[in-house]
Amino acid sequence: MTSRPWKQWPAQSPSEDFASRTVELLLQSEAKVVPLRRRRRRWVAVLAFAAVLAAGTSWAMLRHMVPSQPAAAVSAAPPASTPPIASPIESPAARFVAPRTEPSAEPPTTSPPPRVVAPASAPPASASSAPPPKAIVVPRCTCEPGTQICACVN
Amino acid sequence: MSAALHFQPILTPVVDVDRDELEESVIEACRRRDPQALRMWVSRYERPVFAFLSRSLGSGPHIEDLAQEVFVRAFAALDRFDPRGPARLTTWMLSIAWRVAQEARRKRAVPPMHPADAAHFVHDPGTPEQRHARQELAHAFEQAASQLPEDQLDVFVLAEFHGLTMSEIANMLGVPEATVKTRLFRAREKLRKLLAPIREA
Repeated sequence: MTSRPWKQWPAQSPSEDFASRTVELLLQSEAKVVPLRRRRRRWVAVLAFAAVLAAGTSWAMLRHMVPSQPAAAVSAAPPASTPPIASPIESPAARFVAPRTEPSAEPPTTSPPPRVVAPASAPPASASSAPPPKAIVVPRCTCEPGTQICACVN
Repeated sequence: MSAALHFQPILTPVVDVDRDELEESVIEACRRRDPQALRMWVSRYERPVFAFLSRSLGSGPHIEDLAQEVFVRAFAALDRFDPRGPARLTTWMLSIAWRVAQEARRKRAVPPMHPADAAHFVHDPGTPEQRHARQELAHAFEQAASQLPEDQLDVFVLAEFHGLTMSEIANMLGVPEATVKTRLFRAREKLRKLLAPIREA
């Protein structure tokens, strides 16, 4: 034996008729394979057509349904957005009246404001001449200094 | 594809390196399903395919079925083979045989056959003594090979018996060349140890 003893490892050889049987098998298998391929192609075409049809239908349905929703959304949107748009157009006085609605527990206080507005035009004078109990100017609301005194004074 | 009735394997030393590749015209004729060309093609490559499969998986009747599977697959893919490309037809056929062997191992389609049983399939001309000696040798080799890991055994068989280069084996197996070298080295070392008793005998 040499340094490579495996060189004498015998291998299995084919039988004498292996080639002829295999060629027969190849020709038969090829004959079977061709229609199988055609069948596969047909199935692929059918599936592709079905997929395109389904995709088109769903797209059309979506396209048909979607416009009704945006229309509703557009019609609903303006009322929601009107207050912020309208508020800057209003006068400062009108803006000032709006907070008055917050304390809803005082509905009868609508008449006092005109009375209070008159002394508010000259605050320092009214503060000096008026009697002490009525000279309460401490604001009870969120009125900013320098603005008209609102009904919350009383 | 069952060919159990026709099964008459012959165990012979096969080192299939020096044989020429088929001509391009024969391959072209095979693509046209010419029976004569197909017969030439099968006759030319049946021995290396059998040799690789039987050494990798162990001899037995299943090798014939697997070899036919190799030819069926190769025939189906023959259009994709480029005779002017870098790969030889032998390498290409062996790569298909290697894939078939891998699948057979994965599916456990290889019957667990004892090497001694495989030797019973020997139809070996010669004196009874010669036949017995060859059977003993085949038994010893298969027993030693069965102790190698599959990846080492495949590299070893492809390199030692089919003359494939390291780069060809690396491309076939999808591993780096260094890995092929390592596997081959380990397989050789292990087989030397396992076959030492036979050498002494």
